[in-house]
Amino acid sequence: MAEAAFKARAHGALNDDHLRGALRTATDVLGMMRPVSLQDLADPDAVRDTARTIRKRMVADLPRVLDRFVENVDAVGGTVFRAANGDAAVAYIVGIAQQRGARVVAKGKSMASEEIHLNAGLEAAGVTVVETDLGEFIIQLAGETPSHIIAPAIHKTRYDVAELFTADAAARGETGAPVAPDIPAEFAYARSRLREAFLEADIGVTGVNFAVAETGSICLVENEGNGRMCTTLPRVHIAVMGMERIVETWDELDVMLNVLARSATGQPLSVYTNILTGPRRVDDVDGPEELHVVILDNGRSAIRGTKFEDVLDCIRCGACLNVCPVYRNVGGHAYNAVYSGPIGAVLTPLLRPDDPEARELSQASSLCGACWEACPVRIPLHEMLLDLRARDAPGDGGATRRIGFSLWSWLWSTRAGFVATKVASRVGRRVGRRARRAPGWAGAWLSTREAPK
Amino acid sequence: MVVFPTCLVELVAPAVGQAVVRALEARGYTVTVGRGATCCGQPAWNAGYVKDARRVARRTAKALDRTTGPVVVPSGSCAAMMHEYWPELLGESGVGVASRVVEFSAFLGAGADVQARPAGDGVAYHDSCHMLRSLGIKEEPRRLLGGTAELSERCCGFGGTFSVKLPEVSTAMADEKLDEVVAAGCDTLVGCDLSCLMHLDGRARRRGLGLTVRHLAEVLADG
Amino acid sequence: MSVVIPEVVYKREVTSPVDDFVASWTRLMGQVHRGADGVTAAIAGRSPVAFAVDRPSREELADAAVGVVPAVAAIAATGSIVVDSRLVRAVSLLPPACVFVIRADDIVATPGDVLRHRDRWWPDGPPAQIVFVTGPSRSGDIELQLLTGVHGPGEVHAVIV
Repeated sequence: MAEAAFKARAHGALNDDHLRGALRTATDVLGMMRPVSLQDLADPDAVRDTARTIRKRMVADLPRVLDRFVENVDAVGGTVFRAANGDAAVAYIVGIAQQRGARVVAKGKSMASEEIHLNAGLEAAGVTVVETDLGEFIIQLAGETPSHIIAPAIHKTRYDVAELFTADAAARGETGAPVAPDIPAEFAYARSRLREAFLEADIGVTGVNFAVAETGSICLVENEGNGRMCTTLPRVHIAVMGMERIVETWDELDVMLNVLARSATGQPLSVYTNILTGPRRVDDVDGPEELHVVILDNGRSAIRGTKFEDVLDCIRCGACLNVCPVYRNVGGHAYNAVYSGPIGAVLTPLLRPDDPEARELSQASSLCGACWEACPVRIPLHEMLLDLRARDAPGDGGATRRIGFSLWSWLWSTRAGFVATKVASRVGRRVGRRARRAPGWAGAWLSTREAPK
Repeated sequence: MVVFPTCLVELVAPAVGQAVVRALEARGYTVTVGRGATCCGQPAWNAGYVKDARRVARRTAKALDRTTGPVVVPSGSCAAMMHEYWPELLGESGVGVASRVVEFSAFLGAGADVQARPAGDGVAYHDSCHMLRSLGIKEEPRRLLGGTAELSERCCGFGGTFSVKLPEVSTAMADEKLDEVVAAGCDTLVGCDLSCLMHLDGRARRRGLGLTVRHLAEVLADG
Repeated sequence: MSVVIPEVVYKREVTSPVDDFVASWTRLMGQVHRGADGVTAAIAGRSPVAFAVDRPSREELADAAVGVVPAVAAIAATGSIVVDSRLVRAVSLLPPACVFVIRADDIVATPGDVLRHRDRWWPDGPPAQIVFVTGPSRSGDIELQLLTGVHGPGEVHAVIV
């Protein structure tokens, strides 16, 4: 059945009371802060329009803008690698690690790196990878994937975290008292534990929020300081960016930064907005000696020029997740993909068109449009979900549904056929009033709801 | 002007269709009901079965093309389907009717002499997603009801075939909405979209919440 | 042909950049001191102190209790302080507390006043790293409880001279 896999995962999530409570709190808080924060701007809608215009122009002009970016990264002493797909990107990064004799990689939060399974690739080559964003570190210890874009470990309690940190300490040969299930104590543990990783890491790997073509700069935003650590302490910094994550000028960067943090968490700016232009300079005391930017295609260029092109405008703020009534109830794991929520439901089947489970995701929506309403670059995600259904549903839905809809449209394309259905439905509902079970969709309705009176 | 009752009203709640006509006539309008119209095609359109949607929508468009004046539709989702998507779905032949479509509360609410009918205590109003986000109709129903408790703007979870393809998720969304109604101390829920109301009413009755769920037209016609 | 990007206008006009910055910074749990004695006040007897102008090495920074960094600029509307890599990056990162020294004339209204006028701040082009610091390091990753001082300094001071 077409959406069976999603349905099963959703079932698990819906029966996890702790997860649902955590998701509700997270999405309520973050979702509420966004419009409040945007009110600092005189005309938030105009700024969103400008942001959309900028992103659309970038995607339309992508080859030229990327070329300009690459030229300028070279000019400031950085190295660019254009990766056609995930394997190429991983091979390049593993190559750097091996050539530099790297044993430890400190990682900042990067969804693009998760998309290409970078950690697995590095670990297979004998390199230790330490996730340094606190939520990602917790998830890494748990061997899980994120449940939310901004707060990846939102489903973990302080008791879960205490267990994970205590086990981590033990595994590192640290004797001493277990880590208490007390959040300040857990922060203290993470701070000193990850400080060691920052100091011993040979390579720092991060994502990129925005590349800026006119100066060959990359902009990286974060709240903890782990991004700064990864881009200051290790000898080598490798930045992984989706090819579409670019603006051309600092003026455009200004517009995007004014909507990014506001849309994600309601902050005017993230605690650290980093603009990095090449590796350290000759006279600098610190900073990486090498900067590599890996520009990842992995299916993105195939989306350009299609009716789904707007999805490349995304700035990965997570605003759509925080307003989605489906995501709110099932969380990130139900999507079983790097990108979850509304953006994930659209992007995943576009990046993986041959994956039937990815194609299911367009069904995971009531098409309410809240995502489009919240999106700082006005991506019509609700329309794209419709377009994806039109592309995939008749094929994936199976013969029964195709026949069902054909029969329905044949009947209802005449008044007489419609009236016949009216009569049949009256009978059906009289029966249904007593029944709790029925086949197919009628049964699905009656499983939790009374039939219409 | 012509009323297009919509398939759901005809199938499940003909009384709402009658209430629409009564509410309009009580305000001095001469009403004809669209003969031969069946469905706007949305059930198939939303599910991705475009050809089937087109087949049915074409029938309804033809029937309504034989009429003149505003096409009043007592459903936000159908009005949005016709107004926003018929041009794309039907091409030129859809444009004419699409431009005449007006949702019921927007039609009544635009009148100069809108009589706010005090809704009484304990009434909550549910904004359906198409009304709110596609059509931008928020104030008119509230004016017509004369004051209601405010609920969140979150989707009730119907979403067409979503309600039966992912019934557990759909029901969780309905439960959250219904919990809001109860928490607001309301015993009546009013809306402009029978799809939402059918879903919320069905769930409320299964849960034994004792809520009265009504379409706006029923509230106005009784006044 | 270059495209004109409309300015991002803030609702509240910044009439006094210094006062507005102080309000924004304080709201972010940053502390404020004024004048030449401000640095001493901010350090409040802690030691060792790492001064960015001394260009300390990483080893010297390892035990530092507080870093002192001259700021390039500050932004009133967002409560941000701009620093860069021309002295030392890690002085405002490794120690648990950081004191930023800001000239009142370098406090501007909005992020655009820095980003769209970079020739004013960096006439030779952008250095290797620029950071806009908007409050203390923080995270809400455990049960959404917001705590400061995860990796970067949890205690931040602005000294306005």
